[in-house]
Amino acid sequence: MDAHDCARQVGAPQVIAPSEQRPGLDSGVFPTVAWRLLEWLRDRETEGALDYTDITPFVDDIAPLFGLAATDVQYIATLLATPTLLRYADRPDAEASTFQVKSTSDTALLDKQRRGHAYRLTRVGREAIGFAGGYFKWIHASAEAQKLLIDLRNGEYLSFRSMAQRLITRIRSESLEVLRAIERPEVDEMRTIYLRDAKKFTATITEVRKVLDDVQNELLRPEVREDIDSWSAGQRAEDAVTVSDMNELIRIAFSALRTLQMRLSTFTVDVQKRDRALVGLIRFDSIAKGLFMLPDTDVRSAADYLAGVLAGAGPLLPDLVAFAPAQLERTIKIQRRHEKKPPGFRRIGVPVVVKDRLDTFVERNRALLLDMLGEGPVSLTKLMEDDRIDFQDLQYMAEAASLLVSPLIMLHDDPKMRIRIGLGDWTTWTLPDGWEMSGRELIMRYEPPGSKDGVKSKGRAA
Amino acid sequence: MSGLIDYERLGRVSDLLKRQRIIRSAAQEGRVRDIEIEASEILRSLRDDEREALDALLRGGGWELQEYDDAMPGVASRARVWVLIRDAETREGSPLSLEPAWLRLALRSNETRATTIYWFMFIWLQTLSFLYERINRPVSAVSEYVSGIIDRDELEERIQERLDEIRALGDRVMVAGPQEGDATERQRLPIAQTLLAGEDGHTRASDIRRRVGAFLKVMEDGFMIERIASDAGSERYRQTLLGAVQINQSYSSGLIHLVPVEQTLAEMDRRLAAETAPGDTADAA
Repeated sequence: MDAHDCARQVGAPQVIAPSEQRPGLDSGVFPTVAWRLLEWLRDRETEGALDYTDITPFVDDIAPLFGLAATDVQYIATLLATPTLLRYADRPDAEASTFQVKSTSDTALLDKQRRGHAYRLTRVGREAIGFAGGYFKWIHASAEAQKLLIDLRNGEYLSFRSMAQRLITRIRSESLEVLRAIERPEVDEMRTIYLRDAKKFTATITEVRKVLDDVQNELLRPEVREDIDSWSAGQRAEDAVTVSDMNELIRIAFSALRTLQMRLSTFTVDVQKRDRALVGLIRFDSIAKGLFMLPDTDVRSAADYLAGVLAGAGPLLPDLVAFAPAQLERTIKIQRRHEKKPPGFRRIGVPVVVKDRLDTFVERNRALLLDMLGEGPVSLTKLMEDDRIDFQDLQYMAEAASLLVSPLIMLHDDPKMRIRIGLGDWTTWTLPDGWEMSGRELIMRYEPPGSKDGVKSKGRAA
Repeated sequence: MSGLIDYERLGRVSDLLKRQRIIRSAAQEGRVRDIEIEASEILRSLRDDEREALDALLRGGGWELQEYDDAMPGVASRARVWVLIRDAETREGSPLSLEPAWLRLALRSNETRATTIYWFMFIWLQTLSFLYERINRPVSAVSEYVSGIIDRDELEERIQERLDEIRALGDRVMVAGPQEGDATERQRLPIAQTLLAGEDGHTRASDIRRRVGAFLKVMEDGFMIERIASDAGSERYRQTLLGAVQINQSYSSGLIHLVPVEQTLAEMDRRLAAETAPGDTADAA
């Protein structure tokens, strides 16, 4: 990764391949931004986010600070998320003229979410930023935890808080690595490390727990509590650390440690048993293509078979005859009364034509509707299902229903045919917003005058 | 420690879980409803015997309650998330089922149930391809549920492309069986017939758009996916923790049956090779 000497110019588009060409900017601004980004993401992790974090706030702050465009900062982020092949090479002896490659590693400092500008630190990224900020190997965790006790006994209460937060972050990040080792069936370097160092790892957890116990006991001593309270009273609000705050930090550390212990036990047991159904990558796209070859059989139809597959994993929804009011939440659009605005200024002499919505609907669809009538009976269902008439929302339901009971508004003027309206069979409609409606189908159809065929009708025929 | 079990509290929690299957004590973004906060406080305060009673009640209906803390990605700091997982065995009379989903996913009132299921399965598998296959994520990698993204436009495009590819194969996917003899002796493949049918042999883009829209809404209402912030004009979703856990849990009893035999055999060969490779570490003491 060469952010310093990359060939990027300020303000260039984001998506260009990282280049080793020189020169670039010689001010070192790109590596500075890269480092700041790593630190910023580490801070987000410390606040609790193990999730991808949108870096837009970081971009908005840092770009003007360094006289860069937003795309420059996004470029840096993309660079950090680019897997980099690292070759560790060495000369076999002092006289050798060439290097020999000892090992390679393929890594990125950041993970980028597929869409948008959200990133998170990888383990390597965490180590990279952590080495500068007091990162410690897990094997040293108990020694780091001891510092809490030292801080407490020496009245370094502000240091206690930052030490505790660092310890908690370290425990949680280690816990996440164990979880990934559990979930991933492929053997990676972390899995190998855990297998090799399982005893030392577990011993460290025990030691850290013992130290935390000692810290808790120390916090129970009245003289310590008094000292903390009096110190805290003399601090600014943002610097004050109370006994309650310290107890809470220790409680969180215990909880994180417990989770790490459980995950490590799970991992150790699984690896020993080797019978967990660890599955590699599933080719869902291929399975989707294979669906087309699924036949019906004498025993079970393809649909029943697939419904069985989905029984556990599909989207289960409340299937109730009666519903509770809470289920109506967000299902009914609240009609809000809008204030009528006063009519705008109208120039005298320019007539304003006002058309009601029914006229507008008929005008827009008249030709289509008459064509449809020419092809055969037109029912409410047919109108709803025809894509040429937009039923994405319900605003045309009223127009369609009006049309079907009063088709003369279509201004049909063919004397050889008349439009008969009537009722059809009992039908159920599933409306676009998820509601169901049922009733008799409304139908209109052409027929010659004097015809006695047609659907059952009521009232005066058109 | 034990005492009288407060079944009223257990009932309140059980009721909410049946309606939304996921309870969060706090969210990373946005606000959690008061009813959810109340339920999470109840869950956090349960004694061991009360938690056992709740688990037993849920187990009776074919459910399992799992709890996650902020050591799981996507869970807010110091928060807890509880998810209600369906066990493999379906139980009749459950208040939750797939039936409402089928009704909402039908594009037309006269659409057969089989058509709805075929379309759902096809769209669902493409979605899983985005969430797993495309980011090289195995089904067991639950914690990586935050990584996969579903873009609605991209999904629609993918579906149209796949249908066109399959359609181009012609009669090979419309019928199965011996190549010779008349068509009635050969077996007509129902899913191919349904998904590839359409006017002039093409499925309308508007139909695909409506089906994908309905699919995403149903999955969101079923708490399998959640909508995330995206650029103007685009709709993006990602999997929820519930969705990831449910897929992992039910894989071996459901999805695995769809995996082609040759892929299963290749996977077994790969694992055997990994277990017997030189330098394989010894069992941990």
